Amino acid sequence: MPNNTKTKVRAFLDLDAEEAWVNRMATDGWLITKGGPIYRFARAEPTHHVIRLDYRLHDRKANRDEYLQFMADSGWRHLAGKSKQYFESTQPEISSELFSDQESRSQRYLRMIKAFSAILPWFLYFTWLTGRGAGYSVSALLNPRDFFLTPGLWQMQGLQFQRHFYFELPFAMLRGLGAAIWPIGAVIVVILIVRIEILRRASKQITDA
Amino acid sequence: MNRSKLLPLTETVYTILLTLTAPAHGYAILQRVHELSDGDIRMAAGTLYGALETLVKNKLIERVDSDDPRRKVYVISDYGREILREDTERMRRMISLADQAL
Repeated sequence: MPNNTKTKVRAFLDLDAEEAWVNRMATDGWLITKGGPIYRFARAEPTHHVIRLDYRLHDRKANRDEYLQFMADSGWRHLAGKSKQYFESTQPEISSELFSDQESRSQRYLRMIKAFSAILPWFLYFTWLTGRGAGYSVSALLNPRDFFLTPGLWQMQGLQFQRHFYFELPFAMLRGLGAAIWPIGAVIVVILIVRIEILRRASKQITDA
Repeated sequence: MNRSKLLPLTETVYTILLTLTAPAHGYAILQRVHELSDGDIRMAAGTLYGALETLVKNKLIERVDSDDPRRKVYVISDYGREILREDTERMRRMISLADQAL
């Protein structure tokens, strides 16, 4: 039985690079049915497809329906996506672009930055929350001994110490992970925002050229 | 000087305001832009959608009730009309300057 779907794992921030890849897949006969990072593709005619990306988050379903209706009216079939939106042109000879100026093209990155900025406070909030928790606070990351809760553990000697130490080690590691995950997440989100901002500036500069 | 920060309008915004002197939904605006400019102005769907959001935020256009909940209908606001007139005046002055110079 021939395989009619395909899964691929990719991570893109650059919308132009992602667009090029999705279009290459379509030319090879694989049309996107679900957006990343775990992409799904379905078999399609390996003809010329024009797929374009938008980035939009809608707060209400009514607004999203209206958006998709407008795009459909204008000749763009929605293939996939809840925030990053993948559209295929139904009349590629008439409309092959989703944006007619570089300014509106680059504004997609601005909306991406807004979306990422919205989740940042949550990471900071949970960092603060774990910081207050007994036993595995964020400050314990600087002093990992604090992740061990066995009373008098660090005064023990020899075999007694080893028994208690190795018994608690997996739990201490879990506590460490619990304490580290939120600040690490916050740092990753900040790095992503900076990288998107760099892409936005590069994309805007094409106008000035 | 009491010129609005919104002036001068971009060609996209100027054209949208012009087409919205009568109410229209998104795709109808695209069609009108096409007719109005004899196909000269190419406005893509994503660009128009973003522009409409900004224009509503700046209160240059407003939503009007429509029978079809899936198609929002917009019309120019009084403020939008004022801005459109101001920008037209500005361009008229520019044109007369150009006429004298050329």
